[in-house]
Amino acid sequence: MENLGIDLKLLIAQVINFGLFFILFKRFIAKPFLNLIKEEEANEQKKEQLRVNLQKQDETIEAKRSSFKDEIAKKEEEIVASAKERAKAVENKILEQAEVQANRIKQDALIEIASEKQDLYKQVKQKITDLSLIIVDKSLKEVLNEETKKKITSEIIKNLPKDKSSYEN
Amino acid sequence: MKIKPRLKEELRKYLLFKLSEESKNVTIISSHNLSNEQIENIKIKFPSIQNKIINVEINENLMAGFIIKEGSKITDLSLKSSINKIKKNIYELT
Repeated sequence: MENLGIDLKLLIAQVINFGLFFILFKRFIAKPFLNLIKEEEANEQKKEQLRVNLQKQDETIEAKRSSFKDEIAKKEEEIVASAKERAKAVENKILEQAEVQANRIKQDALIEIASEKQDLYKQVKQKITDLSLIIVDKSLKEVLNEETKKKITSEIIKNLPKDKSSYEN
Repeated sequence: MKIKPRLKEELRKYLLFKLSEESKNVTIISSHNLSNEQIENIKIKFPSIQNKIINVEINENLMAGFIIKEGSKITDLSLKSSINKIKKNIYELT
């Protein structure tokens, strides 16, 4: 062995040295390192799980949001439809009231017109009467002379009835 | 205010005197001068004025006919009053 250049003692020492190194490495370096790697892996798994959970939650929330959105849209439509219906009812009511009021105003106006017409007619009649009597008055004043007046007076005296109460004031 | 009895009596006497004076007079208001014949005819138709003093007044507004004023009593037989009566009747009809 010596001829081959191999020192047996050195070889044994090296083997022992390697064995010691192996034991020390395995015990104090490799194990904590592996534990660290495993821990990291577990953390990664946890993170992944958390991410998946969060994604699921996001999806659920999104679904809920979408559902809420649909519900809100539906509610909005319902409210708008209801408001439209009520507005239509109010409009119809207002129109009916306006129509009733318009008819009443029309009726009142017609009554007033009729009354005014009647008054006017009466006034015209009175004016015609006044005018006619003024004409008669003036004509008589122009036509009646002393002789005619005497004749009329004589006729009045002649035609006086016996019953004085018929002409006494 | 109390009126003295003497004053009251005098006032009563005065009013009675005025009334008797007025009752003695009759006023005929005519649109023209009435002839004696017409006055006589009026007296025949109105016996209550026969023994009274007759005053004749002229009012051309009466147009024709006459009014007799006998105390507080008035008898209107004028053409003017007839027209007014017609006017009143027309107003009542309208």
